[in-house]
Amino acid sequence: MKTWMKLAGPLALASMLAAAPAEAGWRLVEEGETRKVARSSMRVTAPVDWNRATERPTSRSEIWTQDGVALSELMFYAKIKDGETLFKKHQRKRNPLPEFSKDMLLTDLVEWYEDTANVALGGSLFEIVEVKPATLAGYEGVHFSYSYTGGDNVARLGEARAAIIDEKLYLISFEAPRIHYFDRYIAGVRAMMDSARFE
Amino acid sequence: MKRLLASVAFAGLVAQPLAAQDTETEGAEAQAATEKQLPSAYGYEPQDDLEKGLWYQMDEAERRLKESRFLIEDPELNEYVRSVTCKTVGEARCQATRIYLVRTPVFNASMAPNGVMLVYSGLLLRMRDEAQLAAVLAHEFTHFEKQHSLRLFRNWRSKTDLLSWLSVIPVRVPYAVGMATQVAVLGNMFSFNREMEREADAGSIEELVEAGYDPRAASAIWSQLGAEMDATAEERGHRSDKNRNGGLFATHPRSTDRMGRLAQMAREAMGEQAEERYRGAAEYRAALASWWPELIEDQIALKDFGGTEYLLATLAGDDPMGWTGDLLYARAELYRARAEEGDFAQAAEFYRQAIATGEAPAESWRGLGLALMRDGFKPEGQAALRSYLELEPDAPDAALLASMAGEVQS
Repeated sequence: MKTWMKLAGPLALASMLAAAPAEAGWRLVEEGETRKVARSSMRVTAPVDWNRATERPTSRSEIWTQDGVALSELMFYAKIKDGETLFKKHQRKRNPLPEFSKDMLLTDLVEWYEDTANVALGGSLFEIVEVKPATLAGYEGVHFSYSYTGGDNVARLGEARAAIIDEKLYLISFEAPRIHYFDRYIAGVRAMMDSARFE
Repeated sequence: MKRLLASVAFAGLVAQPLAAQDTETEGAEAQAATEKQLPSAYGYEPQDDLEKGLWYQMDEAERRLKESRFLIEDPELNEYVRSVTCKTVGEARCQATRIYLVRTPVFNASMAPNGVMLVYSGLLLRMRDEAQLAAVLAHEFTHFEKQHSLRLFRNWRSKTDLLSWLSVIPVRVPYAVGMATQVAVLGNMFSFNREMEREADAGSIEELVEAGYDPRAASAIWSQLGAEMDATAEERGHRSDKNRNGGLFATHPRSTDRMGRLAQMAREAMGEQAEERYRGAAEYRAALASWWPELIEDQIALKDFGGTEYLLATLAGDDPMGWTGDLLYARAELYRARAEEGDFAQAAEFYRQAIATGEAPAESWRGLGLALMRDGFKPEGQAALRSYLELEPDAPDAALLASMAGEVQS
């Protein structure tokens, strides 16, 4: 059945592909709470209540949601090292995911994210909308927005902020259906991205 | 698991030859069988409950397909593919098909029993001339007219519970395909058996000759596909897929065997006449021209370095003069994305060649700048980025590039 599951169509980018555990439990992150994310010392402050999955898609990531990951998916990735991929490699030889390199330029990070999405979603209609300089936890980084349609034919919007800090990648991404959900949460998500800091 | 199911069903098919199946059907409907109508005939209706059920499912799937964001709606391109189909199988028979172009960078095409033909953009990218496109269309049309998938369904149906075949449709896509579920029912790649593939191959040669196309186009497709699979495998370090099931039409006969047999059929069909048959290379290029940059971009996004490098050379026609600005730009992007030792210098060289053609996309300057910066030539790279920003001040990443180029942000 594995093949079928894979073809069953990625919904939100990360949750389906990073093989989010089926039996994940959820814990409340309360409004105003500041906590470390993705087993790193990077902290963010939640401007409103969020739900945090108790199981991690990968050891270097963490997933939060408001209404379930198909409708709102907030991902934190931290300490991704040179040569590692964003998601788990599941077709290592025949469909390899691109690897992160510590030498990447900020533009390369965006292209790498796009390439990862394209390989993972199998030629989806993924498009980068806008790319701006930004800071993440005080480090020089990039903020970009994108749109795509996955296997479920739902148009989604996404935004991500990323920086290479001490040769490792830190990235926060949010995606949700274009209709209603994205606009509903994006302001709070941007505030959370702005709130990221180390100690 | 899927593969296992498929092979079990297939084994069942072999164990019970089609001849036996046909006899059984004819016994029950002797009358109907004698005046059997081809599905390509005008006003054809499904013949029994099973076929009606199948059509119902297919029609539902077609309705959903019409809403898919993956459809290429460009009327000119659609009209071109339709005109090639009609030229190949004749005006009357082509009325039985409804063609949908699907934006997916995979080499495939399929035709459902209700007449829905899916043509993937990855196939359009790989065809070198109109005759090759006609060969694929004729091949799929033969499967359709001979009701191969219907025969498979009947067989599946007799082996499995009620409608369970719908949940185990033999999809065998070697790649993750974003829109696979949207066309799972329509675009399933049936595991046609060896006999059916032979029939479809023979049918395609006949149609090509009849329509005046060069029948050698059919075997050329297979040699191109085989070479591309070899190139992909070599770069990624796995065995070539060319002799596996999978890829175009997910066929049973191995690609290499098939190529030889198609070439022979073409020779026989043409007889001793060695005159030039119509290939329509220029016509095909013209019809695809406005789509090529996007289709190449879709292909590059797959990060299949070996296969794409081969494909670009194919598109350039193995001719140094065939490397247009678009193709050089694409090749440079491929090297820059691979980012291995020496790739940035190589990429910079291809970007420069692209720019020198005078017709390269403005993004060539962007790529050149980024490749130079990664290669340690920061001032030169920044200068190239500034050239790009002069050409494309409203680029989506203009703000970031400006800061990387050392310009003061507004």
